[in-house]
Amino acid sequence: MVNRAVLPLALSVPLALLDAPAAHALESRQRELVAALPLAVRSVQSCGHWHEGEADGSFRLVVADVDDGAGTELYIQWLRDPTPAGGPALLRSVPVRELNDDHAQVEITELRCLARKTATTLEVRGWFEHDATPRLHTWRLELLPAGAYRLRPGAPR
Amino acid sequence: MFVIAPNGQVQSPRVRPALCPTLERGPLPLVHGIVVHQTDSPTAAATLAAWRQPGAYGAHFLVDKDGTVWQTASVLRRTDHVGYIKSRCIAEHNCTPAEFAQLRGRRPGHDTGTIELRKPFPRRYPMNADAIGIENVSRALRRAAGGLAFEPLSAAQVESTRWLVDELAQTLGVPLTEVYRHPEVSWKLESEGASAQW
Repeated sequence: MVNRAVLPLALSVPLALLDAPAAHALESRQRELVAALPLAVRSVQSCGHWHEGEADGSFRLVVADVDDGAGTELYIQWLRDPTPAGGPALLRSVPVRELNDDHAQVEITELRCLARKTATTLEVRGWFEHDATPRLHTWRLELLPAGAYRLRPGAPR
Repeated sequence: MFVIAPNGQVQSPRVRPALCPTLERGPLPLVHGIVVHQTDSPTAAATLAAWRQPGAYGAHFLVDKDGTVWQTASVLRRTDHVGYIKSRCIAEHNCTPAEFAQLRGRRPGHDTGTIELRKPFPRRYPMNADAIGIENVSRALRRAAGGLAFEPLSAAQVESTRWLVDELAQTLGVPLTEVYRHPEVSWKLESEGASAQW
């Protein structure tokens, strides 16, 4: 049985150690990579897993700005998990064409990942440039293996 | 000068009807401006097929590569072809202190556009609610340096667009100073409409 009163104290010790200078270990190995991330990349996030045959992996979502952030584009990436035989790999990078339309521009304000064992669903919220009265729209995407997805527009709110 | 039928159809041997009611959103009681666009499509047939789908977005006219002018929506009905509009007073360096205060810190797109759409014309640019749209069939091509750029209009498109702009401007009482390339009034690829002339 865990003593709940002691738990925060126990957690605080390793956290304090993380604050100390790491004199004998590699530090922030991806600093250059992160610093070089293009300004137009608004967000990158993982969202659930896929499984197909012998292969397993995860989904990665990339939101990129267009026209200085007046609009956004959404891309879904299929990453293969690392295996004893090799490291992780980017298998596919697919634009969500329905939301990446220059003549019907969307600005994504929120991505909500609903990852379950059986399915991964993504809820996208955003503004739409042709609304005479501004209102947030919701789209739902079911993320599928092998570079596929299924889009279901939701009702504006 | 055009004769306009009661249904908003232009009566001219040079304008071929290809009305797509799917593009029309509501009445267009006043026209304050004309906005020139470029599609990203290989042919007029491909654009017309897309514009006939329910909920499609497009403009009132479509100019084919060979200069053929198609009328795709009534000039008495609104189509959604402009999107969020930029701040006109910022572009023209004549914002009032109150406008400056409203726009300070606002981002492009929704943030700025929702402020602008509440302004009366001509304090703002023409928008979906009071602009006629002319699309030109063309492709956006990937540049070696990255990103996309629209191909220039064909000579026939330049000539037809100029003619159509002049006729519409005269018929609807729109001064040529209120005719714009899409990226002048909204946040779009800078190359859109760059080769159009009027």
